[in-house]
Parts: sequence; structure tokens; C-alpha cells
Amino acid sequence: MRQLISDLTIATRNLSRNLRRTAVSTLTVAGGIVAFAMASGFMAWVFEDMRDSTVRSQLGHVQIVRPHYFDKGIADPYNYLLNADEKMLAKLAEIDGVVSVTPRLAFSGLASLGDATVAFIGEGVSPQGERPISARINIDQGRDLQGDNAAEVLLGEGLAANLGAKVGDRIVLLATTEQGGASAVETEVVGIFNTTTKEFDDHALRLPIERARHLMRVSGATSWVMLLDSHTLTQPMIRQLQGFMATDLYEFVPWTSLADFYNKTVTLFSSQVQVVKVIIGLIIVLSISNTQTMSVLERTTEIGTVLALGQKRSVVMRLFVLEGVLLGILGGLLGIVMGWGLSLAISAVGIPMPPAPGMAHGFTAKILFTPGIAVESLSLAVLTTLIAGLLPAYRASRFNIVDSIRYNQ
Amino acid sequence: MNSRFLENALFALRNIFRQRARAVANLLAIALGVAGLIVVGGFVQDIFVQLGEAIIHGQTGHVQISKEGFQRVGLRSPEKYLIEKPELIRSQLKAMPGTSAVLSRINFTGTLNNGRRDLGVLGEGIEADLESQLTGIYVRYTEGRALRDGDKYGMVIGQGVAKSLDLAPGDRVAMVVSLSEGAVNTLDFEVIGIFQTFSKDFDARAVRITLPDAGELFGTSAVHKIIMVLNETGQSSAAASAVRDLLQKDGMEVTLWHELSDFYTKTIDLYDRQFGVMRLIILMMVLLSVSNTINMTLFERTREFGTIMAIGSPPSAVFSQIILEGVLVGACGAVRGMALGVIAAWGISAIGIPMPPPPNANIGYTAYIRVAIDSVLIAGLIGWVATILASILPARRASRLSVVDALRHGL
Repeated sequence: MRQLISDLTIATRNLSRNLRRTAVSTLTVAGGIVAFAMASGFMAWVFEDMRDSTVRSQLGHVQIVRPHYFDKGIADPYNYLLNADEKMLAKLAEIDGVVSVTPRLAFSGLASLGDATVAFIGEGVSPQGERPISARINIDQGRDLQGDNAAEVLLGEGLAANLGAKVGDRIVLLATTEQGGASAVETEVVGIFNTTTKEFDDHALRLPIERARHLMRVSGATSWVMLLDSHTLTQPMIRQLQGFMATDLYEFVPWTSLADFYNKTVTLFSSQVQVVKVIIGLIIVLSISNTQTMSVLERTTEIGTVLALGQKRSVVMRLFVLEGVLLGILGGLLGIVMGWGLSLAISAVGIPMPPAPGMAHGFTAKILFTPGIAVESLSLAVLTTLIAGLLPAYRASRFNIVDSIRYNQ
Repeated sequence: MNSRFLENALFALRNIFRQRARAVANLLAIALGVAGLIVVGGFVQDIFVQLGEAIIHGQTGHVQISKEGFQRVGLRSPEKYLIEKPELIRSQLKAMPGTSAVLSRINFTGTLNNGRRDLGVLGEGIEADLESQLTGIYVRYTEGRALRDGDKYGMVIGQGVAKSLDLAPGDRVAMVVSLSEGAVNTLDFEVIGIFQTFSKDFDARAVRITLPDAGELFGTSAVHKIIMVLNETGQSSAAASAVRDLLQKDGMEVTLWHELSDFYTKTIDLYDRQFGVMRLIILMMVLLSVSNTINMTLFERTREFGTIMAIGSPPSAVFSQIILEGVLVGACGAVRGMALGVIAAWGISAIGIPMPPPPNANIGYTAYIRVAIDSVLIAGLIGWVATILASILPARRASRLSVVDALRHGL
């Protein structure tokens, strides 16, 4: 322990001897760390935003459905209906951590306005309970639905464009009921919405749930959608629900198993961050090992003297490696502080982004600096400087004593 | 003059290779950077090419000819945008050089019913046999088989449609379409195959039937689109403008494949940005490590520069000497980098990089590295210029050394 402290002191003194070079090395490491932190912070923000918009525009955190609804029920919704069980819904809403739980009825059919007829995918929703779950559905024209039974409809942006419908138009919705008969309902377009998924906006509409039930001649719902305080509660909540609800009657589906686009984007972008990490790591190793070699060469005489005094070669090696690691810690910490400041500054301004594939609108990105990123940054800095220091340190410890004492004279 | 320059260059070369290890490190940094640029650029290029081909062969063909306005709002009332006499246009297009096939399609929306629920679909009436030459490997049949011309009331459906309606080959479905003035027509079809393209969104809605069946559904012998398939994707723009000259006056609209795919445009945009950042990082790497190495070399040669200036050479001679070294090192490194990059690209392409399914797709694919001569040259040029830029600052510093201090350096 004392040995380590004295080694550290010597390494620190050596570093402070050539302040300019130490500053350059530290800044190099810090620069690399800032770049890495920015890249992963950006990705972290994209992931979080995407998760939030997936959960709060379509999926909720947990969907309660009849078993196998998502494998087979989609094709045959009427055989997979949940009862209109208000008591159970009220009970679910009482559970700790549940923000809202609300029934939805999925249906589909044709919407027509004048000559135009377009197929849609509809959701019967209960506007009151739906509001917190649908926080990321932007209604940029008109207003939200008012009551469970109002003759109103919200259209997705693309669907409205295909129909040529504007707020205030009256459209007719046609659907096939369970018995195979045709059914129609006339409603007024009160709002037009968009989400981050263009594909969804191109086909989706939302109708108050009682109207939807009336149109489809059913009662009940295809799913109960639950929003929680945090996405981390999803799995515990599912376990809790499985504890008191009959699992042969209900299936609890977490949002992760429905968010295919989100999952694949996370895989793709995470591997891109890894590539950036490797490149930045290479830069740091290359430039730090260069500076360390230079520092070793400059101090040839000194190393010779130390060896001549009887220090072991391993001590010399340890000293130089330690110097490198100290540089890494210093640069890493500096990089984290700089990265944190920079991320705050950039987030305050925002990065204007064009619409990504599958999106209709551009968005403003930010940078999310998480503790995890700080830890990863610091370990990247220390690891790379350690690797960078090894070869120069080894060379220093192998010097021929006599030659190095006479070096440059 | 010439021999003077040659002499200088020879001198610079000797200086470069005097310190073997250092020269190798320097060349390696430049070469790695250049090779990195080539590989990264080739990887992105490959994504663009593969995505483009998947779109062309899976959905759009190279050039689409339709009535003015159909592409924008046509599906609202498709009966207004019919091309009545497609044969004339077809024969004209067929005669154009570089055309490999000309197809007609009818596009429509409707609902598909499996007896229990409806699903809104985007339908296409296609010339099945011709069409299967276009789709080739880009449309996979997970179950059943592709549509053929003789399949009366046969239908192939996208994977998502099959899942939503729980359909398998052999099942019967009812297709309901609305005609003009509110009339509705229904036809029963048999599912023949289930297909998968690069795009999940497309597969979730797409169904295809034969052109005669689609004509029967709408009571027409006309078509909505005439699609040109070319031998070379690169000729698309030229072909489109030739077709425009031929047809524009008749109220026809000519659309290129990439104008039809919103997804493609946005993907290109996204990747261009991301890999722009990546290129910047690689460039930084080259600049940093090269300037570092040069700095180090010059530091060691301080006494030498002092001596040169003490003998009477002006500082500008030292400056140009160092820059010349940078030019030569840069050129050597860039050439090596280009060779390394091309070899690496070929090597990687020979094996292929297995990629997971990208967002919005179900199928993973194999990525390759495309080598285009111009991008290789540009990468080399960037590496070369970066090296020269990296040597300017150290050269300036070396040329401004105080002669006396420099002579005594290291003593």
C-alpha cells in the first residue's frame, strides 16, 4: 500500500514536470471521451425518446388481453374479447404505480368522404383514461375526443390526407360486424393527429369506445392498456398481475415484446456506438503511446540513473504504466465534466434532425448524459491509456544501463 | 530546377526512412485512416445499393408511368386515372434501349375479409409471369408459391396480412372494393402464397392478384401504371427523361423509383449524416496521430535543424524541407492505404458481413463493401492532404527555432 502511494506520488511529480505535454495528453484523452460521451448520449436520448413515444402513443406499458390475442386473436378479434368488467378496471387502477388503465377496442373497416373511400385501422378508446397514455399523440389540428359516446373521430395525418378530410368534415365509417352484416356510423372529424410512426398515421383513426362498440355490435374491449410510473416497473407489475388475475383468462404483454421497431433500432444503433467506441479507443491508444514513447526517450538518462541506483526493471515499468493510467483518469474525469457541460448546452439548444426512416416529421434531438455513460467513459479512458502505456513502459524498463546514462552526451 | 527538386525529394525520402520505426508508425496511421475511409464508405454505399435494388425489385420497378396526379392522390378515386390504351405506350417503351421488361399494374385499396374480420389492404393487379422476372430473389415466398398468369382468382399476400388474418395457402378470402359513386364489388380469392419483402410495413398491407382478375373487380381493361424495368439501375434517370420527352404532353407523369420511396430517401439521409460523423472521426484520428509523430520526429531532430540553419540555410528551406517530407510520407501512406482498403474491402466482401434485420424488416441480409474507383481516389486524396496539413504547424515551429538553442538541444 505504502509502495503504491509512493509510486503514485512519483508518477504525479513526473507528470507535473512537463506540464505542457501532460496538458496535451490529457486534452487528447478528454477530447476522445467527450466525442464518445456525445455519441452515446445522443443514442441514449434517441432510445429514451423512442421508447417514450412508442409507449405513449400506441402501446402503453402493459397490455392485458385474452391469451394468444396477439398470435391468433388479431385475425379473429370477436372471439378474444375482454368483458366490460368495470369493477376489475377500477381495481387495476388502484394498484400502486399504475397511472392509468383503459379499455381499447380494435376494429377495422372503410372510411368514406364524398367519392373517396379508404381502409382504416381503428381503435375505440375512452378519452378520459387514454389521455395520459396518449401523451405523444400530437393533435395538431382540432381537438381531442370529448366523451365515450360522442359522435366524433380523430384521424391520423396520412389517413386524413388520403381521404381529403379536414376538421369539421363528416365521414362515414363502414365495418363488418361479428355476424357478417354491414354496419355504418357517421361521425364528425374533430381532430387530426400525428405520431412518430408514419405507417401508423397513414391508417389509424380513433373513435370513442361506445361508438366503436355500437359500430361493431359488441361490448367489452380487445385490450386493457396500462400506463405505469416508469418503464422499469413493467416486469414487476406483470408478476404482480399474474398473482391475482386468472392466467387462463388473461395474458399480460409487456410493451417490449410488441415494440419490434424499437428493439431493432436499439440493436442497430448500439452496434454503431460500439464502432465509434473502438475508433475513439484507437485514437487514444495511438496518440498516447506516441507521447509516452517520446517522454520515455527524453528521460533516457534519468531511467539509466534509476536503474544504475539499483531499482528493479519492474519498478521502472510500473512507474511508466502508472503515469499512463493517471493520464487516463485525469483525461477521463476532465472529459466527463466537459461532456456533461457540453451535453447540457447542446440539449438547451437542441439538434434539429430530419425525419428518420418511417417518420413523417423531423424532430429536435438532445443529449442524455447518464451515469452509465460516465462510468463507461472513464473505463474507456483508463483502459486505453493503460494499453497505450504498456509498450513504452516495457521499452523503458529494458534500457541498457550504461548506454542510457551516456545518452545524448 | 528540376534536378534541384529531385535532389530535395531524395533528401526528404532519406530523412523519412532514417528512423524506420517512426516511418512505419506514420505510414501505418495514414494508411489505416485511408483504408478506414474506403471501408466505411463502401459499406454505406452497399447499404444504398442493396436497399435500392430491394425497393426496385420488391415494389416499384425503375420507372413508373401513370396519369398526372395518380401517384399523389390517385388511390382516393382510382377510376379517374386509368390509362386506356396501354399497349401503344408499352410497345414504345419496350423499344427503348436498356429496357428489360415493361409491366402494367392496377392499384387499388380494399378490405380483405377472412370471415371473422376485415383488414384494409393495398392491392395490385399484376402481370404475374412478367412480374416474377422483376422480383427475382427480392421477394421471398415463405409459404406457397408465386402467382402465375393462369391463376384465376388466386392471390398472394404479404406476411403481415397473413398474420393479421391468420391465413395459409389454400384459404379463401373475400376482397371488397368500392367503385365510383359508392358502389361496392366483391370477389372471392384463394390464397396461393405468402411473401416477404424487405419492408415489414409493405408486407403488412400488400396483396397481389392477376391483372385480369383486377380488371374484373373494377370492370375495366385499362391499367393505372406502366412500369419499366431496366438492365442497369444507373440508367434510371436517363431512361426517365427519355420517357418524359416521349409522353409528357399526353398528361402522363413519369416517376423515378427513388421518388416513390420515402423510406429510401430518409434512410440515405440518416446514414449520410451518421457516416459523415464517422468520417470526421477517422480524419481526426489521422490528423492527430500524424501530427503527433511528426512533432516527435522533429523534436528529435532539433539539433539537425539547428545545424542546417547554422550552416546558412534560411528558415524557409527548413520549412519547405519538412513540408516536402510530409508530402512524400502522405503520398506513400495514401497509396498503401488505398491498396490496403481495396484488399480489405475485397476480403470482407468475399466473406460478407451477416447483418441483423434492420428496423422495419424481418430478414437479415449480407452486407458487402463496394469499391468504387472515385471513392478510393477521394479517400487517398483526403489522407494525403491531411498529412500535409498535419505537418504545417510542426514545420513552422522547426523553422523558427533559435539556432543557438537548437544546436545545444539535448545536451
